[in-house]
Amino acid sequence: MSNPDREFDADDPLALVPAVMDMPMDEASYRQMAETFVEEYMLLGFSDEKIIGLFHNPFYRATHEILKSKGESYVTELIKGVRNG
Amino acid sequence: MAEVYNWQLGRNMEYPYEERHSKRQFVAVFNTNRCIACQTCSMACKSTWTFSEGQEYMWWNNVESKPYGGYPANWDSKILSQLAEADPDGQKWEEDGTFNGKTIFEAAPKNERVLGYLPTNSEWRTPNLYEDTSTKYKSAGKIGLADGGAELPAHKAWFFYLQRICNHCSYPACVAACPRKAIYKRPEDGIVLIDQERCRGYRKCMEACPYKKPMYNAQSRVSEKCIGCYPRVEGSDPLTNGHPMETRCMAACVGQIRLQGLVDLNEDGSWKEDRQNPLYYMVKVAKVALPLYPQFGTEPNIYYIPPRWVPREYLTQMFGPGVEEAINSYRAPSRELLAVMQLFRRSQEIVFHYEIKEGKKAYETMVRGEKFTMYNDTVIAYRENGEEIFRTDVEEPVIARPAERSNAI
Repeated sequence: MSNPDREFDADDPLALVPAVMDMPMDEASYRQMAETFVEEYMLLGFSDEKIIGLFHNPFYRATHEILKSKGESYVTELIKGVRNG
Repeated sequence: MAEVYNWQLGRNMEYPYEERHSKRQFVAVFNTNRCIACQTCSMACKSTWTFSEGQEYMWWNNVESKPYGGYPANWDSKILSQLAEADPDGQKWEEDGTFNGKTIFEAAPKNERVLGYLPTNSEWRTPNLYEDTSTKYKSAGKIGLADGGAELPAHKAWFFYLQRICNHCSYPACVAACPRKAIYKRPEDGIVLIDQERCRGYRKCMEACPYKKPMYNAQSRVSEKCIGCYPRVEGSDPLTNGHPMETRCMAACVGQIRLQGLVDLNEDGSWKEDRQNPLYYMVKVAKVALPLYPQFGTEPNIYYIPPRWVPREYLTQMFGPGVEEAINSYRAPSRELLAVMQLFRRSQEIVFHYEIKEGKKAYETMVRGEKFTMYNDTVIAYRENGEEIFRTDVEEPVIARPAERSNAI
């Protein structure tokens, strides 16, 4: 787990201490999380093309992160998989 | 110890007092799938009830980032470890949903009524340790914002937000442990309160409550806890115009993830069948919401719709054996469940009953190989006396920013 930019001050009861959870994630859990994103947009009635657009858009951080780390073919297969079951 | 029936465990269990139940029970459903951890609930509670001297560390309502966050730190993993130590390899659910391990009452050490621990001062010190909040930008611009936009941490692993208040348990550990019988459960709504006159600040309630929600006030030298905003629930707060109203933390919820109300109980503590009560429907019919750590044995009354991207083993430990069914119910919602979910946060008043008027088909799509049809039904919320509180449609508008203004604020 990475440390926050600012050193943790044990005497400050209201300190906000962020931490990025950058531990390795197993493939099955990663897939489950990614499928949930896709499923959410499908339930809203989004088409496959519109959902792929969200993966390319850097302002949709979660979906874009998946595209960056897994690549386009993973995303295409992911969407197809969730659509068809 | 007496024997009482705990429906969440599917069996009788030991409890220090004979079984008795309130006429009604304070119940809420929290949808963890929708929480954005804005902490508006925490601040609504804080600014209403815990802004005085001696209450600085009190967060009767808090939202923690799981699996690492917790207030006090590590509260749940500590209790789970204590139970595992008291009952090695025995803390298991049977296939029929019965819990055959030990509850915190059954695992109590000799001469104690409850298995627990008193959190240390340092565990109460950091309500936000490891929370998902940025403290500063690396290169602050003229107005304190980062040049080129904010850089927030990108999470590569699963996490979720757990919203916590007192569970106003049916078998409260705080009641069981209090040596002065200063804690009681109100017969009219099941809200658990500490009598500030009787309490002598022994902190046995703090030690016993597995959810760590009673808190000691060093200024007044007595313990305090979430009071379920009882003047609002009673309808006696002047703001309510005499109508039962939801608590401050519920009413303030920006993410619209909370719905709270009252369910009628039978004499044996089971829920009276009340098909059109949204809480009854979600917990007993759709089975989409589950209690937090039911294996502790207190029969908590805050129910959670589990986050569906989280590994099932973790969720089962946290919410019991109904996790798969709850997630399936939520991920492929029925027409009725979709409508009931629209009741969340359209009003501050408690919804006693609902009715659905069927509307036109909005769209049809395929998800996981199955057809999903969205209908724009109308759901109508009613007071206890049958008067309408509000009506709202199921279909919500989807508004997307144009690409050229994606990062506009």
